[in-house]
Amino acid sequence: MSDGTPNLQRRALLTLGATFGVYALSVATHRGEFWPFSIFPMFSLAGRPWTRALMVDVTAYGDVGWGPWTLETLPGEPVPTRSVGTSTNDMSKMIQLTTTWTDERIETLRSLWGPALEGGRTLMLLRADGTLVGDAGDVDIALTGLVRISAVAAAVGPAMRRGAGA
Amino acid sequence: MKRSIGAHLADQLFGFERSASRGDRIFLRVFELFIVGWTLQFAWTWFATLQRLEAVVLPLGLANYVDVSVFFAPTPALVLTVALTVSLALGVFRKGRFAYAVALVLFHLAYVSRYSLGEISHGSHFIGMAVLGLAIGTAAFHEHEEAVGKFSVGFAYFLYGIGYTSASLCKLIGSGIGWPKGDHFALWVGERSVDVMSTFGTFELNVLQDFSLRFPILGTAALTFGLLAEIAGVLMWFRKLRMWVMTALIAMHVGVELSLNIYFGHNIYVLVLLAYPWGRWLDRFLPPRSDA
Repeated sequence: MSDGTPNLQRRALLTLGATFGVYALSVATHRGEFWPFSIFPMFSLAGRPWTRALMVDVTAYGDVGWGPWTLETLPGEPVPTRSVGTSTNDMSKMIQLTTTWTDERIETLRSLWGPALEGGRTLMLLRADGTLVGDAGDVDIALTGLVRISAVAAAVGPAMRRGAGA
Repeated sequence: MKRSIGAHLADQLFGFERSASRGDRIFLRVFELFIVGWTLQFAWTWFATLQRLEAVVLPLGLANYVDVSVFFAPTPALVLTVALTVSLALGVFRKGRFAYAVALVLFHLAYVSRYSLGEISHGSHFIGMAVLGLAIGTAAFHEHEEAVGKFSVGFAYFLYGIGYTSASLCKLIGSGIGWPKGDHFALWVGERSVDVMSTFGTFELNVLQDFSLRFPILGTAALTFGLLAEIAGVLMWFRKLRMWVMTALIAMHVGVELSLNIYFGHNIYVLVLLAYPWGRWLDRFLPPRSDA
């Protein structure tokens, strides 16, 4: 292996330099994310309010309104994402990025939650907003209804807009 | 003779001039096979998910330039995943200098399609960076099989070091020096209580979370340890510090799992593979080779 080692090193260093340049350029021009490159910003915004998603089954509760609720007063039983093979992170990111619920996005919801909608069940997608309260490290979590879906119908809560098309 | 900084860095990362033992050569190949295995695991898991997607909510990477929603249909998704599988197999058997490069592009397309709902997975970044190392290694060093393995592993140290240190800088830039405060930890536990309930249908504080909420200094200590471990990430470039830095990062990931219920499995597995001198340890169990 010692034969040609300087040449191997030179090539390796050139590729490192080029890779570093592409890394920096691609993340700088794509909001910190160009897979497999990333600036890895997870957990960088400490203490800031957060928004996550939670799906509940409201079939047995009729018209429960749109909230707000707390984790202790949920309007239905939580439906685990694991039970339908979908991802909690996907759901949370989806509600963070959606202000208008188009037909296409509602169909995505139906597709992701298909098995849980069988038997005429109605699910409600909740938005959980968490904030720090006071100086003692207390956390307030408020849940608001965004979308109610069944296999055949959908209703959008007052916090959201319903839109046509994509 | 005094060496340049570049030559010193290359020696620390790749060690081209150091002869590889049999154990080292086995390890390099095992590392490659693990990376290929995890890539296949991601690809076929994503294949199942792709067919349930309908909309690109957030275009990532190449999805900014090409319409990846085509992969939401079963046949194109299958073609993509099979092509990725075949190119990985060609890479493993060294059939074509650019097989891993093709695999990397297909892996990228699969990733940006799968995560088009907006949330991203950092585990696959780690595996993707290693595939990039294999792609460059097999393309640039194809005439030196041993150099391909050494480059791929050294390249992984290089990028993982940057990645972890970058993560710590994001925290300091985003939140300042007060990032590790205990009430920040409490807010994340609250966030995770919703996520765990969303994933499993129920959530209960574990002992560590309960203690950290009651005694915020524990949360501060845990976050401070994690931040320091990440800042030290680039020190894994240096052979003597590697095991300690990477062990601290493994401990950080285990701590994140225990305190926030987030399992960075692939990060932990890759760190365990790269932190320790497996080749040298393997040599102790290999029978001496007869030169006759």
